[in-house]
Amino acid sequence: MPLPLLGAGLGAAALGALTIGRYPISLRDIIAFLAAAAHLSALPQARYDLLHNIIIEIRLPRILAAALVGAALSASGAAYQSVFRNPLVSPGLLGVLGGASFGAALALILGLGGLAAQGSAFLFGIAAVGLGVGVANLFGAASMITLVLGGMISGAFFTAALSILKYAADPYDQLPAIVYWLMGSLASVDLHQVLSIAPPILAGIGALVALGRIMDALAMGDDEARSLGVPVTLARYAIIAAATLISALCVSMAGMIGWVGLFVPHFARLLVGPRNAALLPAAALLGAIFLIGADGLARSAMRSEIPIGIITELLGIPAFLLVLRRARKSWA
Amino acid sequence: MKLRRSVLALLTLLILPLPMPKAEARDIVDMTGRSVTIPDKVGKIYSASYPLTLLFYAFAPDLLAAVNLPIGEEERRFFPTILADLPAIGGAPGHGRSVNPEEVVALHPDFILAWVDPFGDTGATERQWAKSGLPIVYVRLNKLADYPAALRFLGDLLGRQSRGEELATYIEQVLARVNKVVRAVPPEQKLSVFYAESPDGLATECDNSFHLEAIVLAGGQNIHHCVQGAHMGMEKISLEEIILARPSLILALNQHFKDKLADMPQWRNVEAVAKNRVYVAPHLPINWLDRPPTFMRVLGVQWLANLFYPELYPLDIRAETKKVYRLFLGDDLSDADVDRILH
Repeated sequence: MPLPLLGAGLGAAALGALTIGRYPISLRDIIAFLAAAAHLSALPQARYDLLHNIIIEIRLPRILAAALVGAALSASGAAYQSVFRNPLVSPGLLGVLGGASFGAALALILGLGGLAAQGSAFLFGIAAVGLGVGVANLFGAASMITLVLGGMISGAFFTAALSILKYAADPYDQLPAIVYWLMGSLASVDLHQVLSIAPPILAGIGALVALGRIMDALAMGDDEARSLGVPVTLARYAIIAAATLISALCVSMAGMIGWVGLFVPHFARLLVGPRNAALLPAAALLGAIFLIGADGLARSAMRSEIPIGIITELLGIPAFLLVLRRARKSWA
Repeated sequence: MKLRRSVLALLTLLILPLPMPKAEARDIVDMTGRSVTIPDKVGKIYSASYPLTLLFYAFAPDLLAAVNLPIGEEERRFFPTILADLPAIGGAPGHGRSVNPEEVVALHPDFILAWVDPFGDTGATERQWAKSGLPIVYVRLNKLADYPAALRFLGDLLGRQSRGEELATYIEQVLARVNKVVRAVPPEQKLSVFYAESPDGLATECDNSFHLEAIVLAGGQNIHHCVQGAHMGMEKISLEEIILARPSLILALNQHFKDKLADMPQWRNVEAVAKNRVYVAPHLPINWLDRPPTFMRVLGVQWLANLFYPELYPLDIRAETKKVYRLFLGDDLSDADVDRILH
């Protein structure tokens, strides 16, 4: 069972990530800091404060945020792929990214600060999925195909609305602020924010894991699932709701981070097989490890920070190609 | 037979030189060295570039046929009233609202003015406007030091020599005064500055970026060393890098960052924050530093030089503010106005 192994890997990745960054801090510094924090030894007050500042207030929140976002995007990606029985599906399928981007841009144009932009991104991300599902319901029962089309329509609508906002924005002041936000970053996340966003994200991932067996039934087809006694439509909505909630939280905190939700589930499937009860936690752990690594690279490779979306895409593409090579047999 | 005659008559009509009431034209050389034919008497012009249009707000607002962007409610009272009636029709593509060339032609300007965009392609701009049949004149306006020459060029071009000279002289005097002081500061005593552009404070500019020209002119040493690669700027930087670089002073593009700083204790080990040296650029009616980059930097540079080196560059900022707003925008600022501008 590779799950405990992945858990250990996540712990190691998080600890390793604590040691990297632009401010030179050695492993010895970190050990000295931990010893001082546990009152085992003493450090000069100013030095302790600086180390606390960098390790606990700057690096730790980013690592926790990267782990949460990576886990949430991967778990919701895996859930979507199994509900829609389609390996090309990612968490943005039902329009959550378009809606969240629009919400953030709207807050920025209205001159509201960062926190309002996050709240607005979250609300509009949920609203966009609501619109997609609503459109799907207009055309009879929310089958998979109408849901996909509804998501496309909702996504296109909010993308167009975002373009209107960008057009109306002051090009010298507001537009750069919008572009900056949309690039996505974990840099401005603080500990308080991470701790307040962690419970809903963990609850969402937990709900998806709990729904794993129902997902397995859904993956066999609606009729088969019904014959097993699964309330198909209700189950599908519950899964979509949980996946949307956590991906909207992620986008509102970190902006657009692509590819993770698409390729990490494939990687996990390679490791633990297609059973969702094992696949979902494996995907969440792998996604967390991957994003901690990507963020570590983003914040330490160059003097300027590299937008994390670029790294996930650049690293994700070769990883995805490898997975496809290995997985081809099982699709044929 | 009848048809043939009418065809002939039509052809004759076409060949006949039509008596056209043609205005006197003259050839000028623009600031990229191109030769352009423009009418002798200029009624209206259209400026396709926002920083140049803003210079016209000060230099000759009556000559504008349109503006690029609508003027905000709060800003309006600082600008000449004549601007309030002008349509906002957009500007060169790539900077927000793109103008529809038909809209420009319908306003019948005598010619089009555009700045030499440091990251743009004048050839592409020229091809775009070729369809309108309007001559295009380029003005070099990238650095503050380009402004005196640009103002004199525009003065000659538009018959506003004395106004151009008046503004050009003031800018030259300021630059000379600030330069003299800044040159006297030994490199190791130059003040290190971090320029915070986003509410989270983690977007900044490379040290050679035109976005922070005012800081460099005023003798500030930007802590982020890199080469600007794109128009937008706003390079991401990590807080660890900022702590490491130990800036003595932080300049924020707008109030958001300073407001948020109280909720961001993780900034406390940044030297400038610890010493409470965080300043916000005045922005009414135009930002003094950047976004957009304009003639207002002439005041921004003095404000910064005084902020950086108060002993070497003493300045009555309130009096100088009144003087610049009077000279450039024709405003008579009250003391309450100055308070609002300076926060």
